[in-house]
Amino acid sequence: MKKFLLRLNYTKWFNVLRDGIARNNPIVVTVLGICSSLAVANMVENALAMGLGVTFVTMLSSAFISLIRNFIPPQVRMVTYMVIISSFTIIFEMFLKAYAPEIAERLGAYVGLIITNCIVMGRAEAFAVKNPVHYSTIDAFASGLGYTFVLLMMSVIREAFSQGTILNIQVMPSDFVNWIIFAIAPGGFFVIALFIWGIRVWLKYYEE
Amino acid sequence: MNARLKNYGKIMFFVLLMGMITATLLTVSDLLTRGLIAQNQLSLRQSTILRSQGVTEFTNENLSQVFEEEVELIQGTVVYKDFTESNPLVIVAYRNKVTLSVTIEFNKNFGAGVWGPIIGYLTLDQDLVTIESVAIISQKETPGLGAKVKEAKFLDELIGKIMVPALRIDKTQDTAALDNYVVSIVGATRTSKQFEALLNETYRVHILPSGDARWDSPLGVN
Repeated sequence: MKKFLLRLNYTKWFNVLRDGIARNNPIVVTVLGICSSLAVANMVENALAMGLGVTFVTMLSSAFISLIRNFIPPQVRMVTYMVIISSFTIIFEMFLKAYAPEIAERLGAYVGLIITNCIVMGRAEAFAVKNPVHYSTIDAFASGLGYTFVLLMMSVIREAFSQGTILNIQVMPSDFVNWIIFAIAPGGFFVIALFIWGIRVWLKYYEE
Repeated sequence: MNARLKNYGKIMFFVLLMGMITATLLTVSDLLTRGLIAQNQLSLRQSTILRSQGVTEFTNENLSQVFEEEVELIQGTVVYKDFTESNPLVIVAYRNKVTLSVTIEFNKNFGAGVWGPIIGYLTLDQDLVTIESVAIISQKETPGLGAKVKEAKFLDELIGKIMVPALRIDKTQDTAALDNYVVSIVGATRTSKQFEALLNETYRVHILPSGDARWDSPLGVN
């Protein structure tokens, strides 16, 4: 088992996966995707659905960009990323509306906003355009997972304090007075700052 | 010069190719999902109306049949806002054949929320004054704040309230005992006020014909 774990440490796919989730976590380390995380992380349900959406779109667009990376003219690469990302976001929205209409309704405008999520564009420019399809897909999956993890943690705290519930199940005492500030932007900034601080200390990641 | 032209040519070709690939992907996805999306929307509307009228015994398979058996459609036209005599607004009321309760749709024609349209159904008792239920099928309010407008906890507060002289959704608790009064959503006063206006306007146009609105259906109360 120890041998297996040691060998795992030297495989590229494992390192790519670990970096995306922890060492290069899109929210707490590279500080990408902050806008959407502040907006949707006030309820666990929304955070989960948004995390899945971003993971799905990042994986598809990274895989596609990696596939055509040798043909993309450098002058139009950013526009190309945008076209690919927006196409996959629209496709994701269509399928969500067709096969999971309740989740689509709950996410509302945020599904469309995946286009503007910096993580998707960030992984395309930093990784997918330089690496083969399988590694790009793993990297996108890891980034999506890292994003979803932080979003979920934030939303658990924010929903518990602002509504007294988690996934609509009452978790606070019945006489608990809801802290509305946790549902709005200042509460979001406060929680995300604590997370960035905590995880960076844990990872020993400090900026010079 | 030739090399530069060749390079521009390559870029143009790539852009056209990308356009064709993404357009094809989007068209195929649209063809694959369009029918299902339309069906989902129709099912959502029909099931919401049935539940609003207290009918819960149906499945996805027999939904349309139950809807036809239980609900009578009453259609009419009104000249309203930008709608003219030649192009009037078509409005529909859904009357339950057994209980005679009436469901009317509130949508962007009659108002909106803070961030976008709020679409749903207001069901009235056969007296056309008392609220039997309110259901929302689509809204774009702030999640965790204004979006609470669609939650049962808030909507259930409206049950039994009356729409005359007008429904009031207000922060103050002073008039809470009144039959036409509901306490607003905490942290979402603007959404509450917009929703109040939307319900009142929908009611006015459908049930109380007056001013520029003309509703010539048997539902009209003068």
